[in-house]
Amino acid sequence: MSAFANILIGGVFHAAVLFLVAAGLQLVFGVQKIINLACGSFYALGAYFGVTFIAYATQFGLSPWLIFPGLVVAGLLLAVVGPPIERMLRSVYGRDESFQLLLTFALVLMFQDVFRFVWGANPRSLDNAYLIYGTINTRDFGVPVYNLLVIAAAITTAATLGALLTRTNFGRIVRATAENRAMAEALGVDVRRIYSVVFTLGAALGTTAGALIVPTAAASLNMAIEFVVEAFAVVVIGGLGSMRGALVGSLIVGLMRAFAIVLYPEFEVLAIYVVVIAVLLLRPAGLFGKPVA
Amino acid sequence: MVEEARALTIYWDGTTQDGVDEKIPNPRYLFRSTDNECEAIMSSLLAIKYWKGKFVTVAGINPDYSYGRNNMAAFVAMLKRFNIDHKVVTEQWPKVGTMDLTSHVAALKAAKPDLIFSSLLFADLPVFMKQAHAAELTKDAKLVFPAAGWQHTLMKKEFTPEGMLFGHNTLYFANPNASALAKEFVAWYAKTYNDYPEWEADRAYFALASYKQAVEAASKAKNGSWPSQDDVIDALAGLSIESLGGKSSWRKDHIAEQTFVQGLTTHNNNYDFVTLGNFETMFASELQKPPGANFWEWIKTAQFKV
Repeated sequence: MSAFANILIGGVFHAAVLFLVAAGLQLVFGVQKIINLACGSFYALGAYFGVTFIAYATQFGLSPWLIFPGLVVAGLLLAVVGPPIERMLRSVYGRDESFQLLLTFALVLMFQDVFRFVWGANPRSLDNAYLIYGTINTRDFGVPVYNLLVIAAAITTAATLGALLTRTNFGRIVRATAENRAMAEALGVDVRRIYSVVFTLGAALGTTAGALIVPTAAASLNMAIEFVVEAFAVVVIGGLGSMRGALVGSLIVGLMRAFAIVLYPEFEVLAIYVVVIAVLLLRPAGLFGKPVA
Repeated sequence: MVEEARALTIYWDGTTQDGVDEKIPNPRYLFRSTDNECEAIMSSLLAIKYWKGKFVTVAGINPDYSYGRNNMAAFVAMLKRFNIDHKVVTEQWPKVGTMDLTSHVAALKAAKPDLIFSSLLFADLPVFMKQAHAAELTKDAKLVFPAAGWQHTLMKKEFTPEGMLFGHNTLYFANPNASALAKEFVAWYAKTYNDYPEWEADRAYFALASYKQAVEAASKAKNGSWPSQDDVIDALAGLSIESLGGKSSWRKDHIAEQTFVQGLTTHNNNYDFVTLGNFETMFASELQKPPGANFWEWIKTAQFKV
């Protein structure tokens, strides 16, 4: 039973981080119809900046207990990268997906060089942060409190995004723009501004996920690529552009991975893509996606 | 390609058994590093020496490419060679660079191993140690980490236990028995980079210093005139020098032999990371297959000093 709980928590933790990245990806695609490969770079940027931000904040007397909120602030501050990148992406709105993929993949490569230039080739980590909040241990079950905080952050984000999109005027405008850009524009919606805000929100989700993960892991050059592959598996399973899909897809990928690692480690990656293939065959639009007319 | 290009080439690393299947057993232009599995052979010998009879269930977590696969296979082959009663309860193969290892840690914990063998060596190593420590996986299990020295300054005391079998490959920066040259180099490196060197520095030094010595010897043999590439190659084969990590040689078949360092970790030092308490050094001639031999067959019959 303890082993099952350990595996379950490990899977949910992975799903929580995946959700934060995939939610940004979904939000941007849902509204702007942009397949943003650079979402993994936002995640890596958050991780690197999180290390630097906490290092400086600690020098200025930040209590170790405030590292978690400090990392949230670091991730949110990085939302500033959203507007200029969205401005660049305007050149590919409405064009073939291959232009979007090429441009956003170019961003991935450029970000990687920026990381190498600013932070160097060696991984960067926050060594003393992970265990600062302690661990919950009972017999064979053990989980760091930090992991639970990350899971709680993902749940809070999901609830907040859900409320923002369904219960606020801003959310209604965003959904209207996603549904029919021309009609929204005709009704007086400043679509450019909506695009900029949505992209910035998507970027902030990725950077915050990266900042939150860094105490448990390390910021490294290949983390952008590593995570974006799984994030796209989430998107395919959940349905492109669907927030509910991001949530369910993340849970499916996180849990499949965790149980595959225990039951048959060789199938860690295969297990995820078996689900992806099954979804593509049986429900091509994803579990919560809308079929293309 | 090296042989086709006929250009003297010295590898400082990259000799896993499956990575260099002996297609060209006697290369002319290529000089290769020691077998990567030297570390696994040495840590197997030390694990048997320290803990024989104290473990039965064995788990592995190794990077998913030929290096990790060969190291784990070598460890298990060595246990069989010494008739150690053991049972492999789980083998984990995370992709290189995997940063969320919590599920792997959960899988290891579920398997309840007495001993964990890991040749993780990149950024994933300190990440694994952090996550394993948080899950109390490292509290009771015996830990055999032959390649940990590549990340030695990141192996912080707060999550790296004492008494872990820890390999520094061919350079241990805090070796009290090191040569004056090595101590001078470590001091210079620490002052210049605010860091402590690991084995890559030794491999680079060995490659350059042995090449320099071979050029000088070949030039001397030609009464001071500049030697040809063939002269340098002939002088390099069989050459022995004192490298930063200790005695280092080129075998006649152009395979390096170097001095390896492994031991048990301690927190008793002035750093924020672990160093070695008790440690041992072994020369590669005791750890790698002789010229032309098959590695896996060699393990079955080799005479090892335990």
